Amino acid sequence: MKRSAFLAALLALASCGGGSYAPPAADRAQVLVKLRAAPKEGIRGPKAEGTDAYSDSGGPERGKRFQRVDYRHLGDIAVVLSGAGLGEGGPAPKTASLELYSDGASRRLILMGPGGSTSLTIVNRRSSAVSLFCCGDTGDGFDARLGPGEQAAVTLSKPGTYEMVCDEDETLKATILVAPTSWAAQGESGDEVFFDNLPPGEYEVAVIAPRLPRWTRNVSAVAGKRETVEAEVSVNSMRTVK
Amino acid sequence: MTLRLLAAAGLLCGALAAALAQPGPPPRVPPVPVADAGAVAGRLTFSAVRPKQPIVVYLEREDGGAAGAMPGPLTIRQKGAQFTPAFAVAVAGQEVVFENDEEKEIDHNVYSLGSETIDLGIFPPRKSQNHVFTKPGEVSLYCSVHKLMDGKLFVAPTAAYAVADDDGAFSIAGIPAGNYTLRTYQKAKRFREAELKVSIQSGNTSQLTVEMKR
Repeated sequence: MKRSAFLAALLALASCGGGSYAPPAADRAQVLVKLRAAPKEGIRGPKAEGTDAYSDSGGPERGKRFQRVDYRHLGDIAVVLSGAGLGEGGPAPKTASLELYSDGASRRLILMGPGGSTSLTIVNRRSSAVSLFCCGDTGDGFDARLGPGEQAAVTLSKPGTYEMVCDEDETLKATILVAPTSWAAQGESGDEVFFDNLPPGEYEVAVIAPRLPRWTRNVSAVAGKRETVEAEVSVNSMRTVK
Repeated sequence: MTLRLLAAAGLLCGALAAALAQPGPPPRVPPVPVADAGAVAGRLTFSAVRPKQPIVVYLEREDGGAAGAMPGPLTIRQKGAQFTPAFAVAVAGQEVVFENDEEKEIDHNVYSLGSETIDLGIFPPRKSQNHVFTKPGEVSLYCSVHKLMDGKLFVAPTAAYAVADDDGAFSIAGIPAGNYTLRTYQKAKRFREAELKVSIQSGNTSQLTVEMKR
């Protein structure tokens, strides 16, 4: 390859926001969302996984309470596209799972597709029964009593946010997000979430991370092009009152 | 194993609710006696099993005015990497004091999502930050340092409120005479929130039964 052609190819690759994705079809668009979770500015001590000094007294349960948020690997971050004309065909999961352990739930935020398109399997890995209550702001929801080792599969139809609580253990909780469209996916801090084969249009990208304020941005998805957005979820975006 | 899907119709739920780490009703300041005051007392009944979560019963004046005197500051401590109490009720306009009570040099940050979104910054032990929540509704409290440190605040529109006990009983005294709407707030949503017109008369206690249905 001639040097000029090589440079042109390199430039084209860079403008796509990465080199690992195939280019879009001529009549379809792509949106690439780069996820990052950031700690609050000014925090002293470790910014990543770790436990404050209290862990040396009070046993493991007390130590657990002092675990710090690991923003470098913050997981269960949901990315949801919404807007007219999106249609079907998005990557929302068909199945999801949630395991309940004696020290908490395996996940804090679970993403489901709309209209009951995702089956969520809840497995009780504890040695005792749990009574679960889950309700959303639309009134949809479920309740379940699971003995040790038992599991249940549930679906939720209406888009919205649902909170699941447990009667026997207040720390056993999870948030379930039913996306308004199938154009939704999950990742962790540092991941890229890639939406391919999108109909061209104007869309809102919403990034929802457990315990953090929602991040949103409007994007124009243009046929034959890839739009790259960098999403940072953090407390730093909030109004500080002192 | 039992599994039942809830009916989809009309359950009024609040904003996103991250659940809490500590059971039990919150401490509250008793209503201040006022002239020409009445009271309500009653019981919530439930059409299905009730989660072991707080339910607040509160009154709103039809003319939008105050109902009862504004209580003094409410203190929520951060100790043992927990909010204590983990659930509390504040009155819109009441001062809330967040106090870092850790014995060791552990910083906390307090921020809220929900009806009021604010960040009170980072503060070390023996320091506190105050805030007056003015918008009624549900507020989730978090610390951005510690991943299990969650709390919840319900900001009631007036000082006329009570937290129902385990049997669903409640009573609110010191309510200025007038016409009110009684409403409920559930920390864990399961029933449609109740709404009931109530007339408070001076020197009387209105007896009520409030049905919580799905």
